Amino acid sequence: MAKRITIDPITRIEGHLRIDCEIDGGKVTNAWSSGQMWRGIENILQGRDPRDAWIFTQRFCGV
Amino acid sequence: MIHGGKGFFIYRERKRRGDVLNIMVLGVGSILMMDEGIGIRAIEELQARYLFPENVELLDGGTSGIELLSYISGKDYLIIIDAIKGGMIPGTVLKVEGADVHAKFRTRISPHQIGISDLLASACLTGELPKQLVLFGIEPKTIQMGIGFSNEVRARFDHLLEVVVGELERLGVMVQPREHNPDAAESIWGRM
Amino acid sequence: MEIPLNAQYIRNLMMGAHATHDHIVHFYHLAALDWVDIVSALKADARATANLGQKLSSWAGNSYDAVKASQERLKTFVGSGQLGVYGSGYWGHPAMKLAPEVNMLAAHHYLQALEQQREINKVVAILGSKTPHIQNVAVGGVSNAINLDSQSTLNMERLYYIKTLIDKAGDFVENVLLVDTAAVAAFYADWTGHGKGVTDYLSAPDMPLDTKGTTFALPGGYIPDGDVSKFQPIKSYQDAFFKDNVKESIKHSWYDGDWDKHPWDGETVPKYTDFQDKGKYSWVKSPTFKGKPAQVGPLANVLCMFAAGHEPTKRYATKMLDTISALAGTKVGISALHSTIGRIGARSIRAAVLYDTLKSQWQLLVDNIAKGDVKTFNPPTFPSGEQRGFGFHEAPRGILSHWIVIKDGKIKNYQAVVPSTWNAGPRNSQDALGPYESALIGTPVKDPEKPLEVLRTIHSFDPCLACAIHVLDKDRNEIVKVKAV
Repeated sequence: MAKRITIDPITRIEGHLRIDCEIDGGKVTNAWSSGQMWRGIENILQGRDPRDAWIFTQRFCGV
Repeated sequence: MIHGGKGFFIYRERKRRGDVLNIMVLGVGSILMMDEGIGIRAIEELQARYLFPENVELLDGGTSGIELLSYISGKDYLIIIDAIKGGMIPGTVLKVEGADVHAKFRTRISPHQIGISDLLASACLTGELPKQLVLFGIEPKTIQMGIGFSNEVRARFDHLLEVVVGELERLGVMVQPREHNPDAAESIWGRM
Repeated sequence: MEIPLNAQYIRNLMMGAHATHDHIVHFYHLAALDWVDIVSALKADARATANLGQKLSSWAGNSYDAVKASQERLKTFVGSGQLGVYGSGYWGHPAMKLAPEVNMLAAHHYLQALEQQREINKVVAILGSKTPHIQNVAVGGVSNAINLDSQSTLNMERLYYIKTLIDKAGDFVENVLLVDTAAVAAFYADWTGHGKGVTDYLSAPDMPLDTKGTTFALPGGYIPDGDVSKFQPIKSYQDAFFKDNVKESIKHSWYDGDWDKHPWDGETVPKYTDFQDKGKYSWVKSPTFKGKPAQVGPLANVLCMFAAGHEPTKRYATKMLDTISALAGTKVGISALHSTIGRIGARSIRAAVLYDTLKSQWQLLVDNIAKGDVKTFNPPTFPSGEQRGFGFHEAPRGILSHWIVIKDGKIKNYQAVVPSTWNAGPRNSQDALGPYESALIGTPVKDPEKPLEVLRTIHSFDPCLACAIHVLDKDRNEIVKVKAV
């Protein structure tokens, strides 16, 4: 019987990765990668001077 | 305006020996996640409002981790400023001390805090951990993509700065207010 | 828009130094703990460890005294109960296979890497005014002033210091990092058979050598079906082959609708549902190249450079594969790189290639300044009306592209398609699995309660947040004293 595992570091906070796997016969048979990382960046940049964009974008966490 | 307290006695003892206390004020967080950015804005505002002596270094650490090792190396006293989730009313200014600072960062509340946990652990391993560690912050209200603070945090931000300045003064640091400069450029991050 | 040569070289030096720093940190401080058992290292014989180190490499830091000092430091650290900070450590897990001496040698280099990573990052700090968050980049060049006679600008003394830092890091990369990753690969040779996943690879050419960005020190392009003979290069910053083939899909992402759109036309209207296995389950969009997911990162980069006949890449890839073959006692070829361990090995090959590139970029900068050229900036002009632009870069985790629509001098739309989006993306509109997902299929898991093997494969991609994949220990409620002030 397949067993489902969820590896989820942080349940309450945006910005992290969650991995779900189905394991059957000692092997991963299905997987899901779920994360939230870039929502809303354009909302911050829209309407700004293009020459300033790099100052904001270098603060994207962990490119 | 020098207060008593343990830190002051450490400082006085060192001063007597002709040793100066090396202090770092390290702001961490993400400026793009609203209240998560208080550490960074605090560094900016402290630099804009005050003059510090040479033995006090202020650093915008962003969302870095062990990259900061060389900066905290050789410091005696490390003051970290960050958003702190402590289950308090949003806007509450908080203080965490000593070993509790390690524990606080291990409970990983925001994206960058594992980075700081790694930094502190690495500093332990290399023997470069500052002897004194203190964390100041504000209980956040809104952590989501955006620029600027929630009303609750904005209302208490000046108090956070006063508390940090108070800590430095307690250590015997002469913190000098800068003259108000109406022509000073506004921060690119916009008004708080 | 042309970028002055000096600005290109300065940017290239910063990119190369930052990536070297990042690759060292990734192996020793993130990935290695999935393969190296720190607790076992404490049982190692320091003399035997030093002998092993000296047999593998000529690195000066493998003396008995140095190894012994590291072991003592580790013992103190573990003894003080602080090992818990490495929350990902599965000490004693049955999938940990290295002998105590190998574990100790890796742990010894882990400590030395803490020193090394910050040395090379100084290059970024010197050129970028500060790090993190460099200050010297400008649209049109960089803001560094060059005057060889001035104390306060970029001068010969600064440049020679940068050279020293590059050589120091290069020594560590060639004689420690490359050797250690080869050793881990050889001792875990079975992992060359796991974690293959998506074998369509995408990588950006980088380190531009002219003012227009039409020639590059490091090639990049696209390899379909894992077949290096089908390599198609991306030739310039304006190349339509790249520009026209990137799309993002949101069928399985928490955004409103179900479409594939080019980044210039991209929209971001959130629509959160619960985690739905067959529906929407991620905030990450699913990028595609020519309609299919693509794996990005150092492996994609190394394979593309190899396919393009890039000499340093071939040299270092051969050196690594030969070392693995000798240690494993069996011939290991380039096909072994399509795997979890291959992604780790490729990152070290790339770090070594970057050392060659840093040396040549440094020389190009010095030679160009010697010719009397001190220009670092061309002021940009923005035509009126609506303009569309894009830029790409081979970042430490793979190809990064930013897409912008400017209207009357203001940003109208901005989309960043970042490396971890390519790799961590969910299923696309055709329900094809993303690279993380695909690489996990078939991964053996000895104990589902301690899925170390899953972490090995995910960590091999170097996910964008080091913290992203630690297993949550819900029971660890440390008591922390927080007081209001």
